[in-house]
Amino acid sequence: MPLAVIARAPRVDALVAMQCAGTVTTVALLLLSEGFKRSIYTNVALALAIAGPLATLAFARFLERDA
Amino acid sequence: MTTHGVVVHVLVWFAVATELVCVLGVALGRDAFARLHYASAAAALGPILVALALVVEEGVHSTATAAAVGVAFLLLIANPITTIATARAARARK
Repeated sequence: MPLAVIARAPRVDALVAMQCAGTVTTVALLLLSEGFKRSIYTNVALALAIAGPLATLAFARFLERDA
Repeated sequence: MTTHGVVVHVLVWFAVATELVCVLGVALGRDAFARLHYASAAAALGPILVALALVVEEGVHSTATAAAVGVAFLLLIANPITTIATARAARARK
């Protein structure tokens, strides 16, 4: 559902949906890591938790400057 | 099922339900500000509940627990910053 918003909504709304999709993916990776006992998924979740907000900040900065 | 298992299941299902409600809110919100409300709730509640479930399941000395608590902490710290930055961008483009 956030992907539909990313595809169709205005840019700022798409940014919010991307932020939400990143969070949901991070939580899903944590649960998959525990469920399948694969610690590599935890590392991916950690990387996403660091990179996701940075990407959101960068996009927000560009959108604000572009307004 | 033991009490321990019930607590873990309740925490995980509550986390999943929270994320589902927040995704619905983001998908159906009327504007960017309404959507931001749900996106920030998704980043605040879900990871903490999953980290709590892992603390109950694995204990505090597990690597998975440390990673989950780290992820929850990172998202909790970054969430207000990204929310404010996105809201500023939305206000500038309004």
